[in-house]
Amino acid sequence: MFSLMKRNLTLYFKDRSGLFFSILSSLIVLGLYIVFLKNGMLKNWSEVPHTVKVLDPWLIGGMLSVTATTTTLAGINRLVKDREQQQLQDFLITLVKPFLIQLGYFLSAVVIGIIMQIIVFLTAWGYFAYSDNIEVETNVFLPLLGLAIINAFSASAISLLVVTFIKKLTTLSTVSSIISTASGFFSGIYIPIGSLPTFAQTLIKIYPGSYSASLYRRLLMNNQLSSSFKHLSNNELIDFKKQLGIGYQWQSMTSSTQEFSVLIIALLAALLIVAFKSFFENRLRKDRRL
Amino acid sequence: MATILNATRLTKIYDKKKAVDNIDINVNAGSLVAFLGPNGAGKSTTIKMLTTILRPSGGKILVDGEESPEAIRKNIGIVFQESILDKELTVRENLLFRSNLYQRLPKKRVDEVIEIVQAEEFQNQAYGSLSGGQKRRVDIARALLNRPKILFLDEPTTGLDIQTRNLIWGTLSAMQKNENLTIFLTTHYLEEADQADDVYIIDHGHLIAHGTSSQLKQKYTKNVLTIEGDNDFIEKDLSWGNKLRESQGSLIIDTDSSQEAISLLSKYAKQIDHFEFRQGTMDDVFISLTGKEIR
Repeated sequence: MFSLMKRNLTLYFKDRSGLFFSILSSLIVLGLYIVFLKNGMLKNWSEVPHTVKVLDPWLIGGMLSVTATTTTLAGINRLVKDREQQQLQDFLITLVKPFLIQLGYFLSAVVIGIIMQIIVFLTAWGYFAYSDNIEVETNVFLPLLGLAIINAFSASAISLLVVTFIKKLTTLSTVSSIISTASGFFSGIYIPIGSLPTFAQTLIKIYPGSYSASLYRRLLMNNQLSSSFKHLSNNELIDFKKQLGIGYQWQSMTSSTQEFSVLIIALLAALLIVAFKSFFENRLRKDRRL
Repeated sequence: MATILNATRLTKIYDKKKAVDNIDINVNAGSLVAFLGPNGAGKSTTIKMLTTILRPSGGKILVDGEESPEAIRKNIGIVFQESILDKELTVRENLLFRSNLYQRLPKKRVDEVIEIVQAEEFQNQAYGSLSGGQKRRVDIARALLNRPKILFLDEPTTGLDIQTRNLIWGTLSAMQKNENLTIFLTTHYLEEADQADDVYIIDHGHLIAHGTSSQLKQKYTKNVLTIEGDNDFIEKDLSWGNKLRESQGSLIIDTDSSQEAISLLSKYAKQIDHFEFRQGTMDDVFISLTGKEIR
C-alpha cells in the first residue's frame, strides 16, 4: 500500500502540466477576483473598515476549498487510468488485498490534497501579503493545517465516490472539468452566496465543500473581523457573514462544529457507499476474477 | 516429464456464445508451448482463464497441482498484450514498485531480473522512452519478479521488427534452458511456432490441432514442387490428377518427400527450364486448418 502511494505521488508530481491544471481552477478564482470581483466587492462593503484585509482572507478560504476538490479528484484520476489500462489486474495478481489497493489510491489523493492546499495557501498569502499587506496570525497555522487534513480526507472520499462510477478516462475528464468549474460557484467565490437566488443558495448549502470554505473563512478572518467590526453593530456583522458565506442560514446560522460535522459525515458516507458498491460488485461478478 | 499445467474441458461462454469450447491443455514442466489461432479464435480468452483473470464457465485448471486462483497466482508470471508499466518512471523504479507489491521479495530480485533480460544498460531510463523491444524485455522482467514456474505471454512479439523478435526469442529460450522455466505464449507469427516444443491450434473456440511443429507439418502440409517449362508434356505424362495443378504458367506438384521430387526433376530434366522446391511451413498448416477467409 505504501509503495502504491509512493508511486501514485511520484507520478502525480512528475506530471507538471497535470499538476498545473489541477490547481488551475483555484488560480482562475484568484485571477477573477483580482481583475473583476475585488473592486465591486470593496465598494459594496465600503462601510467596513479595512475591507481589503477582510476580503482577501475570505477569498483564500474559498480557494482552499476549491483546491481540495480539484486536486484530490486529479489525484484519484490514477485509479481510473490504471483500471482502464489493466494495471489494476497486474497489481491484483500479486495477491495484494483489493481493499489495500483502494486504500492506497484514497490515501494518495489525501496526501496530494494536503500538499496542494498548502502550496495554494502560501501562494495566495504571499501574493496578498505583497499587494495588500495582509497578515495571517501565526497562531492559526496549526488549526489551518488540521483543517487542510480533514478537508483533504473529506474531498478525497467524495472524489473516490465520483470515480467509482466512472469507467473511462474520457468520461472522467469531462466530469472533472464540470466539477472544477462548478466548485468555484458552489463554494460561493465567483459570486458571494448573498447575491444569489434562493435555489442557488440551497445548492451551495447542500454542497459539502462549501462548509470547508466557511470553516477556512472563520479561521482566516476571525481576528480581522473582530477588529473591523469593532465599531459596527452585531447585526451588521451577522449580515456580513450571511452575505459572504461564513456560516450558512438553515433554521439558524450554522456553527463551526456543525460545519465540521458535515465534513466528517460526507467523508464517512462517501466511503461507506464506495465500500458497499465494491462489496456487491465482487459478489455479482461472474465473468472476471480480477 | 512432469506436468506443470493441466486444463481439462476448459469452457467459456459469453452471452450464450461459446468463446472457448471444451479445450484440454497439458503442459510439461520446462517446455515452450505456442498457442495459435486466427483473430477471435479464443486465444486471449483461454490465456486469461489460465492466468486466473477470467473465471471459466466450465472445466478445471491445475497449475503445479493446485487449483485455487490464489495458489495459481503465486506460480505464474504474465506478460500482458498491452504494456502495463508506468511510462514516466524508470525501468528500475517500475520494477522496484512492482516487487514491493509482493510479500517478502528480496530487493536484489530486481537486479536479478534486470540481468536476466539484459536491461542493465537502460535500467535508469524512463520506460516510456525505450524502444519496442526494450519495453518488451522489461515487461518480461516484471513477469519474472515472483520467480514464476510458468510464464504466460500474450502475443509478446506483435508489432516488433524481425531483429527484436529474434532477440526476444533468444531471451525466452535462454530462460527456458537456464532456469527450467515453462513458457506458454500466443502468437500470430506462425514461423515462431517452429521453435516451440508443443503447438496448439484453436479456431472458433475449438482445439483443432496439437503436436510438435514437425508433426503438424507432416500431417497437414505437402512438399510443393513448382516447375516451369513444357508443362503440357509433363502434365500428360505424369497424369497425377489432383496432386498436380497449373497456376500462372507454372506447374505445381504436391510431393510426399524430397526423394520423390528429385526423381521427378531428373526424369523431366529436359522439359524443365526452372524449378522451385519448398517444404511445408507452419503457414501452410495454419491455412489448411483454418481456411483462407479473413476475419
